[in-house]
Formats: sequence, structure tokens, C-alpha cells
Amino acid sequence: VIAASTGEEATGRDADAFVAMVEPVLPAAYRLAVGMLQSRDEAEDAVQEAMYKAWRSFGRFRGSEMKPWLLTIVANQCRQVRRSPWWSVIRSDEALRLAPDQRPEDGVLRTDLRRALSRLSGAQRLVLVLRYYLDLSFEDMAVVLKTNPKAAKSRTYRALERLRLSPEVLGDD
Amino acid sequence: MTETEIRNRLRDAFGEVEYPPALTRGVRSRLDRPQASGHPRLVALAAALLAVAIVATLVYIRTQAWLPSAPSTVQAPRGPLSSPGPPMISAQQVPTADLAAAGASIPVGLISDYNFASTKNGRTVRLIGAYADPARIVLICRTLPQAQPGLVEIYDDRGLIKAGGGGGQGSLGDSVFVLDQGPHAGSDGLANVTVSIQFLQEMPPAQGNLSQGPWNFAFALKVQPATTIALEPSPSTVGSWQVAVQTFELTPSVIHLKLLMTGASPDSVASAVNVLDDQGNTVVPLEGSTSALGAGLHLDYAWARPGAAATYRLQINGGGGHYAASFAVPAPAAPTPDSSEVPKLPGPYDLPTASESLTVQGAMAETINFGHPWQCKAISDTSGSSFLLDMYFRSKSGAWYLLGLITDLADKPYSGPGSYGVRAYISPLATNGPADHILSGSGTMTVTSAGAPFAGTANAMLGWDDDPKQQVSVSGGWTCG
Repeated sequence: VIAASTGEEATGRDADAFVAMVEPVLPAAYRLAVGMLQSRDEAEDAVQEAMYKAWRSFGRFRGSEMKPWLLTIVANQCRQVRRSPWWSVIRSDEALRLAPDQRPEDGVLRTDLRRALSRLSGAQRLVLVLRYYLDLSFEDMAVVLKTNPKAAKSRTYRALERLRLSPEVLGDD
Repeated sequence: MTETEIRNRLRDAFGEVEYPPALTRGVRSRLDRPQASGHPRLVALAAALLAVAIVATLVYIRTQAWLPSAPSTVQAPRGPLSSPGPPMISAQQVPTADLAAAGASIPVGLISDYNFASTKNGRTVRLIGAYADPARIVLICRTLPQAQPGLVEIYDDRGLIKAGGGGGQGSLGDSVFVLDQGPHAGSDGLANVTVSIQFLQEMPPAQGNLSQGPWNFAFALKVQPATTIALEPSPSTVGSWQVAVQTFELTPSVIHLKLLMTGASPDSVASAVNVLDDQGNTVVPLEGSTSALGAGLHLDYAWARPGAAATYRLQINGGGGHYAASFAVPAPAAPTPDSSEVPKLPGPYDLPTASESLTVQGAMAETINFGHPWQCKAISDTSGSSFLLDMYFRSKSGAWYLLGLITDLADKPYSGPGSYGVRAYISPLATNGPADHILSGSGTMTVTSAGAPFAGTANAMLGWDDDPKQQVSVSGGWTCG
């Protein structure tokens, strides 16, 4: 039993147990944060902060699967960070390192898409990150987004439309 | 487009990352710390930004800047643009707090005063000032509730200017945006600029939402000229690195350097290029970026120009070699006297202090314990007498404002101690004295002592000139004279 947020005094052993439990989800959490924030440093901070919040509210966790619950907390944390006035800034060190086989034009295309992504609302960006960066099914997305799969699919479609990436069809998984 | 193609394009845009193993340890150690007041890195960043009031973030994307022969295909937004605002009564309207937020290196006399308004979804944003040289564009915007321009796109005759930017907050409602690249000017030295503010980030950031725009402005902007700085010898090689100086110039605001380096890795050039002042101290760059595009690394740096003549030194260390050369920075040109300028009016430091007990609430929240009364007297003309109190006060953020209270002749003429209807206004302090008011309204003023020192109470409600729903109340006791 992990004591955090249950009214009992949490111990170091509790914290170790909690980290062991969330560790398998951390790569996905980090990837989600990078996708949302476009900054590795801020993504690390966001994941740490989100895991702290998860730790403090672990006593209220009633689900059977931890991953969507944790991803929801990470997504919320990223939304908070994105409210900072400078979140739209695209950092040059991460935006412009082209692979040797890439042409400058590739960088410009990617840059344009990144700019378009940065203009999306947090909710729209989140569905694209979940679907195309974390490869979640619409069912799993629905759990994170606290909605149903049909609505998750609809939101994905609308976000793609905003990017002018009109899909021929979206898979039903 | 298939979903696989979409996935590939989005993944390319997001960028691939590897999980940093240290993050697991970071999570574990985070659990041992008490609740943070906010996002630690962001809090530190925000504190730095707001304290210095300028972001010189390394930002963005210089791809197009490094492809000079390829005109941008991105066109300026069409549709309704800004409209000229009401005529200005002062030649210099930009508040001093905004100038501070724009960075001390911006020459005051070279900022163009504007008053362009753009309204979208009932929200008005004004562009009140701008500055440009080949290295940067500075925009000063005004709107309330307090907000920062989010994504800002600036176009010139060649299309979108792709560069990084940052900014800070100045006077109430004002924010400064700095783009790390200048516009292309015509032969007349003017650039036809279109600014599109895509959204506003409402402040404070922790609770703020986004307000969607765009707010567009189109105007001619004087581009201050730059002079080339000669380097002797020129750094063609530094150790194993090949170095080509593409731009080394002096603008009225910055020393601007663009280098192309081959044979160096991005990490190795991170601190390789430095400018030292007369005393050998490293000058912290205002902006700096490194980008890899095609062959080599493109470095772009800007350092604040010193306010007096100086001899600086450029150093490049790396690749197993060292390069250094001195260069002279002449004193900035003195501003040309402008016959249309209004005379400089007294500022707060020209005036004595007086004890006050005024409270400002609403869109501006201040407790005024000390003021610097400027005018405190009965004034008369053919229509009657009024009592006038003009008083500077300093906000918590350090910005100065003038609070003006004048008894309203429409209520009754001033005739000594008593209660009167009053008109009230608040103006930010600009270089030559108070700028036009940003808040105005009415209320009551009681004069209890009609001889020096004057004293009384005031209670007034003021509204933001572009949105009267944004209100500020002023109440409490005042003294002057």
C-alpha cells in the first residue's frame, strides 16, 4: 500500500514503490510532453511535476490501468506550461538540426508544420500527439481525453483539418 | 493523404527523442521535495523575463534568412488591417517602462510613435511604437486585459520574415515584442511591414487563456541603417574550423554578427564566439542562435551597442585554435532635434514627494503611499474655477504613472473646501513627460484643506479607453503642495 495522499505519512519506500510502478510509463509520458511542449528540458520538468502530482493524488486513483491516468496528468501539466507566454517559441537548437540526408527544403517544410502545430489549441495538439506520436488507439485516446472513441476520432479529424492535412480516412483500430 | 503519410509528417515535425535515463532519478528526487509554487524552470524563466523585462531568447528559425535568393512564398495576411487612431497630442508616447522592456540598447529617439488599432472579436490591440534596423524589429503593443502577443508574424515586401523573437511587459496593457531580424528596406529606407498577431496569451500565464486573432497592422517602418565593421585580420580559419564572416555590422542598437562555420559541431561552437568590452569583460549577447542548414553551421549573434565610444574585441576559440581582433564602436549619433517635439515636462524625480493613502484596484492594483505631485492648485478661466491635482506614482512593477484629478465644472465651480464631482485619468510616463491617458473616468473629490499643504479624499472609477469594461478604481486620501 502506498501511503501518499491517503492521509498517512508517505515514506521513502513508498516513493520507491511508486517510481517502480510508474517507470514503464515514463517514456510515453516524456514523449507526450516533448510533443506538447517542443522542448526536452521543459518536457523533463513537466514529467517530474506531473509524477509528483500523481504521487500526491495516488490515493484517489481508482482505475485499473495506470498509463492513461498518468498521461492525463502529464497532458494537464503540459497545458499549464503552455500557458506561459513563451511556449509558442520554436527553439532553434531543436528545430534546425537536419540529418545529413535531408535537404534544406525539408527543414523549411518541417518548420512550417511546426509553426502550424504551435498555432493549434492545446486540446487539438494533444489529440495529434496521442494519435501520431504515441500511436494510441482511439479507445486509449478516449480514456486519456475522458471522452468516447468517436469523439476522439472526430477531434483528431478536426485537428488535421486545421493543419490542412486532410486524411483520406482514419483507421478504426 | 493517408494516415501513414500524416503520421510520418507529424513525427518528423515533432522530432524523434530518446528517453533520458536520468529522468527516472529526477522523478524520484522530485517526490522528496515539497509542493513547488509552480513550474520550477518556468518560474525562474518568468522571473528573469519579467525582472529584466526583455527576453532575448534564442529562438526560432533562420532558414529563410540563410537562403537570401529564395523569396518567401508566404504572403502577408489580407483583409481589414489597422486603422489610424485618434491624433496624438505628444510627439513621444511610448512609456518609459516599455522602453525598458525593449532593452536599454534601443535608442529612444529612433522609436517611431504610432497609434494603430486593430479589433478582432471585440478585442482591440494597438501598435503604439516600433523600431527596426537590419538586425531586429521591436514592436510595442497595447491591450487590456493584460496580455502578451503570442505567435507574431512580420512580413515585408519579400514575405514572411523568419526569425526568432521574444518580449516582455512594460506599462499597464503594454508589451514589447522583439524579432531577431530586420525587414528589407526600399531605397527610401522604409520597409512596408505587415504585422499579424495570431493570438494573445492572457496574463498572468498560470491562469491565462489564449485569445484568437489575428490582429493585423500594415505600415511603413523606417529601417535604421547599419555600418559594416572591418575586422583585421579576418577570421578565415580558426584551428581546424573554416570561418566566413557573412555580416559584422553596427546598428544604432546592436553589434550584429553572422558567421558560417564549417568543420565545427553545434556543441563545440556553443560558447566559442565572444565579444569583450574595454575592460576585457565578456559582453552577454542579447540574442544568439546556431543553426545547421546545408553545409556548415550558421551563427547569428547580437550584442547591445555601448552608449559611448568604445573598443571591443571579438574572440573565437575552438577547433584547436584562437582568433581575436579589436574593433572600434563609435558613440551613437545624437538624435536630430525635432522642432515638433513638445518641451520636456517635469518627471517624478524632478518633483518632491508627498504622503498619500490611495488604493488602486481593478485592472491595476496598487497601494500608493507616496506620490510626486506635479500640479496641485486651483485653476481658472472664463468658464470658472477648478481644482487640479496631477501626481506621479510608481507601480509595484516599477512603471511610473500620472494620476490626474480635476474638479468638474459641469458639477460646480471650485470654491474652496468641499465635495466636487471630478474627472480622473491615468497616463503612463513617457520620455518627455506623461503620455496620453490610458484610463479615464469620473468620481468625487473632497478638498479638506485648500491651502498648502492641500489635502482631501478622492473616489473615482476609471475605464480603459479601448474597453470601458476594464475598470480601475481609485480611492483614499491625498496630499500635495
